[in-house]
Amino acid sequence: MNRRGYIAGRLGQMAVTFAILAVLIFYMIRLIPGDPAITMLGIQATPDSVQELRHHLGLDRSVPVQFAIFISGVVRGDLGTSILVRAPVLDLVRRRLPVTLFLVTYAMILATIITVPLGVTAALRKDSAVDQAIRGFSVFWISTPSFWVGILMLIVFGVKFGLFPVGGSGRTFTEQVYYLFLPALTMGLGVSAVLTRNLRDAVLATLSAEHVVVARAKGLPYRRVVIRHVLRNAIISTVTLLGLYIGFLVGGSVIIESVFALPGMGSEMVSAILGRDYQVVQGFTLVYAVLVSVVYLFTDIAYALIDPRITL
Amino acid sequence: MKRRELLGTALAGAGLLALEGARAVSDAVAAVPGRRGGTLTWAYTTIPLRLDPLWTQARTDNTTISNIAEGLVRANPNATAVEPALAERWTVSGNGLTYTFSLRQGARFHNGQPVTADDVIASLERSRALGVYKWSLADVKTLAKLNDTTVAIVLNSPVASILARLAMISNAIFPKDEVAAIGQKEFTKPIGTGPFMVQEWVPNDHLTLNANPHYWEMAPDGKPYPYLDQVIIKQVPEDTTKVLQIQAGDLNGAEAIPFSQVPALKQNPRGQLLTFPQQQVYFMVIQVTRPPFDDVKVRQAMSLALDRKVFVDRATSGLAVPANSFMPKSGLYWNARASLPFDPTKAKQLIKESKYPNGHSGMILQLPSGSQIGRDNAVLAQQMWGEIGMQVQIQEVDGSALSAAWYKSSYDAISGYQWTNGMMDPDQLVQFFVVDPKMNTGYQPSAHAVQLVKSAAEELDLNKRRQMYYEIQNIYNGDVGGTISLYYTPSVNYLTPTVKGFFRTPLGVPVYWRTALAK
Repeated sequence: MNRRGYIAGRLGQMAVTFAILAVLIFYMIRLIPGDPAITMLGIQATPDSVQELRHHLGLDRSVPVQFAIFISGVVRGDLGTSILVRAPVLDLVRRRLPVTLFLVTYAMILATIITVPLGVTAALRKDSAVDQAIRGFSVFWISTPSFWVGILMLIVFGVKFGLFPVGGSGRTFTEQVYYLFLPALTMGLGVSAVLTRNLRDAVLATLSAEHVVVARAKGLPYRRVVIRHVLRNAIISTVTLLGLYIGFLVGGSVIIESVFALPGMGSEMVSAILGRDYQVVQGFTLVYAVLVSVVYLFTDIAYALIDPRITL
Repeated sequence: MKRRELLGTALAGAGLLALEGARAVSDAVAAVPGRRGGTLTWAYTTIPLRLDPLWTQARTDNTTISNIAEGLVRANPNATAVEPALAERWTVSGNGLTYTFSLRQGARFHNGQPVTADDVIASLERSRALGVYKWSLADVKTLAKLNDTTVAIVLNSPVASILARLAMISNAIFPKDEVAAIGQKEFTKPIGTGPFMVQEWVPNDHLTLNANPHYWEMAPDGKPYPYLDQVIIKQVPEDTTKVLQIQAGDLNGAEAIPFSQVPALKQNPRGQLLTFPQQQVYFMVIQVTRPPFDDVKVRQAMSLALDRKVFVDRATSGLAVPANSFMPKSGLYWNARASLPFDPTKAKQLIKESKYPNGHSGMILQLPSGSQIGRDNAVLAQQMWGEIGMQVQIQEVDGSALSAAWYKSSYDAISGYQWTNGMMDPDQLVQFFVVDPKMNTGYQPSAHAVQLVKSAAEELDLNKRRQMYYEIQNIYNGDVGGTISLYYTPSVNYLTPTVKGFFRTPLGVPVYWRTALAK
């Protein structure tokens, strides 16, 4: 199958996934007890005012009709209007997605910077003190919850030492790099903990492979062997794992955004779920799905590019 | 009463209200507190979600809109009376059914257009037909334009609170063209007559308000309010972050500082802590149709078992005031002589005489998850009720799910709910707490109580009305209607020392237009 055919097939699969997801999320959010109108009116809710507000928000139409309106909107690229905020959901996405993407990309870069040297070193110095330390580091970061780590970072580096801002995001690119360092580091550490173990195991496996033994026997410089022959092969499984993690990170940014008060998709999603803002929950879920699917597609293509043995 | 006497009383009443209003205003405004100009930045946990007063009941939204739009009248700074706003003066007919308002000369909308009777009629027709405050004008028979600057409002029957209702921000006046164009939708950039105009609104991020250079109200220095050039309201969801940013000088002020932080902040010279009484009351909601609340003796005992002073100390760092009524203390017609005493001995006695002489267990006290004050109140109540043999389990529930359960009356008891007056008249409050269980508590008031509420709503004689509300409060305390009041909370505001003249009314309106920055 050629590359174009492969991509077309994948896009078709994605469309089916989105359709199923749209149905699922639409009905699931409505199953949770709680009504947006009653939530908004609070203790002053009366049957009259609730009815008035539900009508105003279009919630008194039957569920199938609401679904039809939602789907016809999605097809046209209109994700509806937020119930709580009265702004088009697409506007919210446009404003909030860049923050989340910046955070996730930043976290991934930091994770890579941490993972590669640690994973390779641990493998090359197997069972030494350095290796033990790196494996311990891995276990530690895997077992601690990210929100706890985040709060700790804020207290130590933000408040105590005043090195970084106490939450919020910046305006310019340089400001963003500064403001988002702590949250990106928190996410990056969690990811690198898993990836380091994976890379270490992959490098170890590759070190004993035939082609590496031959390269060493031929007298090639150690460093060249490691980077060209070992790493390039070992990195495949790590890249796959990284790709899977991006999907997880995009969705999991919710916690980090809340702790660090970042105006990203995650924190907006939390408010929307708590306030039963159906339109935002539906719209954002679809956006997440698109993002994650695209990332997986690129990961698979990258996989094929790195490893010439693999055809799509 | 003879018609002439009634006319006299009504006019005197209206005149008295206006005089009281004027005196309160002049007390609040002595001189210019600081310099003119500058920007005030304020942090809200959630910035206004809506700027159309017809479609929101959120205190944040309504009190912010009060800086942008105005009605014919407004509540005075102490929220005990109504004072002129877009109407300069008004008269009331003998039978109390017709109110004739003379519009203020020189009042203009933010777009420069003058305010005319047509704008008033269009805006009030809209708030009568649409939105969650339709009820406020339900008794209006006609809205009539007498001439370009005079409007008459004719009622079907006497409504004692009509001026207070007209002072609600949902009855603010907007240009008739805007009203016609907006139809059933919501204003996102409301064009009012208020001291500030909407410059930019990014939902869930910030709201920027610019000074209205043509505002009608004059400051003591002979120039119009406001003193500030701009107010920026930013969304800062974390309380700790708010405080830190104020101390660093990045922000000028914030409200809703947790009570637990107050003692430390009081000592800190990097900021000033200002508290203002609010027409607000925290209470336990109880489902009167479910055990053990289905016996009035149990309800009385549960109320007597609560030492409200302890609640105030532990849950609000001593800042609140123990409640003695379901009506808030700074509210009109609050009965100073009503009482909700603490008497655990009597409580135990009442339990012995009740349907559950050996106590009761299994009652579930729910609170919205994330509510610190709800949790504190619940824990204290659990302790104190345990002392009289009533065992209670505490359950934290997602806020939205809890609202839905409350709405369907399917709960035992709820902690963490509070009522804040949106109107400076007890009419709405009393309807909710006493009549036709609008609080979804299952409370069935006596026919006498229901009749009292109805009469008080229509009684134009202030003294008679006052006595009726006093009696209603006593009845409610005796019956222990569907709520057990705990305490009245103030608004706690933390500001940089450079902010002068800031004031928040008992209805929660931040008076940004009288606020200035230090010279």
